Amino acid sequence: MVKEVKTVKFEPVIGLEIHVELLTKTKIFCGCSTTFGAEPNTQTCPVCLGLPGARPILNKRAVEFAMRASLALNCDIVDYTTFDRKNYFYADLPKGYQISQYFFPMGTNGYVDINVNGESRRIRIHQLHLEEDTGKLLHVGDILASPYSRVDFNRAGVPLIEIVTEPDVGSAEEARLFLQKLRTILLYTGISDCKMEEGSLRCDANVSIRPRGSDTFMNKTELKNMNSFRSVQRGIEFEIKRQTGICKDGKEVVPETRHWNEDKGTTTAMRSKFAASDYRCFPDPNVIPLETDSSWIEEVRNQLPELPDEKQERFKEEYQLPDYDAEVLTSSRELADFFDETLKDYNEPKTVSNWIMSELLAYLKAEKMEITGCKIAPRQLAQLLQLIDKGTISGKIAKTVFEEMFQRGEDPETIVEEKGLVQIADEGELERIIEEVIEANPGPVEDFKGGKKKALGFLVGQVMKATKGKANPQMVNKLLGEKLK
Amino acid sequence: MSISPEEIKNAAWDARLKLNSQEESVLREEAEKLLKKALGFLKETEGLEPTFHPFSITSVMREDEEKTSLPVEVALKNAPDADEYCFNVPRIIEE
Repeated sequence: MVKEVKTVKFEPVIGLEIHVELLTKTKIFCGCSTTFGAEPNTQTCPVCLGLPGARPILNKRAVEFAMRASLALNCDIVDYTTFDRKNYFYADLPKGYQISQYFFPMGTNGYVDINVNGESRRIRIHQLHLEEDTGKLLHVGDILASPYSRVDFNRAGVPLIEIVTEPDVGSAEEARLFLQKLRTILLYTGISDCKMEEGSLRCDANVSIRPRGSDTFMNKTELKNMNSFRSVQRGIEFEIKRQTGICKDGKEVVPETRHWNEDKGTTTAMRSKFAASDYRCFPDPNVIPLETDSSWIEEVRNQLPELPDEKQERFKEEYQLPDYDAEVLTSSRELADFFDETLKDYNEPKTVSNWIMSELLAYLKAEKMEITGCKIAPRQLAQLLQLIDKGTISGKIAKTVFEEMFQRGEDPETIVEEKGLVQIADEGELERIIEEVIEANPGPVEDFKGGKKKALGFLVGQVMKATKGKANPQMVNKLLGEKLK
Repeated sequence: MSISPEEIKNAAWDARLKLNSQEESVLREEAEKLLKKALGFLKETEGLEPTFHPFSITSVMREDEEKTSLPVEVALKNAPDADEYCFNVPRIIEE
């Protein structure tokens, strides 16, 4: 029996649960600030501390942000919803329950399309619901040696959306790609800053495996504590291997919550999974139900910006950009805006795209910067490209100017003038330099005359060197050709 | 419809109640009576819209405007154990 199991091929079945903190100024049910990093317990009140008699009142912006996210993820919006108590005991939960949307989630039946090795894959969104975050446990020194834990309720009551996918994710890589795409979409909508390192985007994964081609579900584990895209992929990869090993030995996977340990690269058991009924959910009588109508939904829909997929299509159709360019340029809203803005002053899409992708992104990457921190304005990039077109500078010199612009944020004209980088396009001057080069390099000149065409490149290089790259390359080619006839 | 002793034990754990065996059996009997009654209601109300909330009003919301929070010493005032900024609770380590 065990022998048979060993030959079975397994496939992973993965569903993701993503918590996203919303960028509201205040908490979901009270007016306490949501600013990150304040001293512990300085942003609390009777509502978020769960004191008796406190009355939670729903934050309208949190609702609109959840609606906006639902629409961006192609979900249907609920028309009537309650806010429900999910009961459990934990020290980070001041009321002994979390207020969530258990019965009627804000959004259902959505999807996100991802690109896996050039192929489009659809990951369905089961639901998106609004809920409150919990407090945070701080440990005093080493957790095992510490006599007690400290609790900070600043985060308790911060609005969250939880996005639950269908088990459509087929590999650890797909999980990472989905999460990256989801983050891009949510950043476009402006509802969250989606910082995984600060915990404003958190991803848990439900992982199970089954014999390839089968439609049964086997025991799953829930993976927690994956704090980067990389750890999501690594954690899931590890868990698939672990479960495959267990099943191949003819044993059963224990359904439980497991903790990803980034340093060790392994998962360890945390606790047995709660059954849904253990939470004894019921509508919170203290929170008034919410109704949405089509005019409100349309109003929120109209606030949505052009989303990455639409933008990508537009870039391909309107500007005839290749798939790759369109995908890279739309990977963030700010980058896409930079591109669009540059085109207003320099309408050569492919040239602008090349400069952004090869120069700008390389510098940003090297400096570990985001486009938002970039000193070059789109107008200035357009000016630089115009200088090349006008023949004021060569493409090569433009790269030097670009580097200066990146460091200082100065206009390209100023840098060109300051550094004396104007291209030499004076025929007389170039001829003089070319003659010097010919004289100094009799060998290559002979080679060229003897039929070695490559020698011309060397001579052009020498002229460029002599002019510190300022010679107009087309003119150099032409004049050298004539002189060597 | 009956409730098993195991179900009573689980419910007690969820509610963090420590029950002796006599209390468990009393509660089990009472819970069975409640369940029977509830199932009766369910039958009587068949076909009716469920009531999710006692109030018929909906969509009471506030604007996203900041209000002053409690001073930290007030927030911590009722805590059985606290330091300058935090509530202190027994060390939490999952088995």
